[in-house]
Amino acid sequence: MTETDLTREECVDAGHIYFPAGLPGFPRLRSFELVPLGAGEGPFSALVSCDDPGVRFIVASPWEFRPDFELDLDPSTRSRLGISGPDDAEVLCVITPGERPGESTINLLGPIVVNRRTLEARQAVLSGPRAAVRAPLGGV
Amino acid sequence: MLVLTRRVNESIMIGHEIVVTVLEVRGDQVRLGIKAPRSVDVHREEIFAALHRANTDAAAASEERAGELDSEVSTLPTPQE
Repeated sequence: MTETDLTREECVDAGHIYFPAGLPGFPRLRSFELVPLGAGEGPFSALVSCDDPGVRFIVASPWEFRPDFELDLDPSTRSRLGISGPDDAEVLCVITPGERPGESTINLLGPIVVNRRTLEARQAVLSGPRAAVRAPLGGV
Repeated sequence: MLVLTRRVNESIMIGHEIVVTVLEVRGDQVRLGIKAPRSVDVHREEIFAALHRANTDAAAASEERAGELDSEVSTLPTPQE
């Protein structure tokens, strides 16, 4: 793994998203850049690691696929993110493209929540009824 | 594995900054309070494992399949409000 060591300040100055605790499975990757996927007309973006450009996640707003999605965060997660209202947060769910079309899934349990002001982010875990880690992209 | 016995309202320290407190014991359930710095995420183990697997799979998806996502969703029915 090639890792440059971007500081938190360098990362935010560059408009990148900063994960102070990394992500489960990728604890050392802190800084990510959000870039539209393809022509940028669809709902998907790529969250590309600045520390290891070989790592990228496809992400999308959960509301593109589940209009009734509720961001049900417990108070300690909200306070750690510095989020007090829905307008403070950008929400990105990780997409796993399937081997074949129709098999792609969206992680509704662990959305990435970005504080729009500080660009600090965490992969949160919703506190309400247990949502699926691999929900079919096309709905149930 | 280090094994410690604690009573309700007693705590253990992990390193200098992480405090785990036993809040309540009821039957076979134990409620814990955890104080940790911002750079440490706290998860139930089975949920952490599920996120770990899902993230690893998601990051391993080929560019080819990722590029096909737009055309895949264009064939989906529009979600109902």
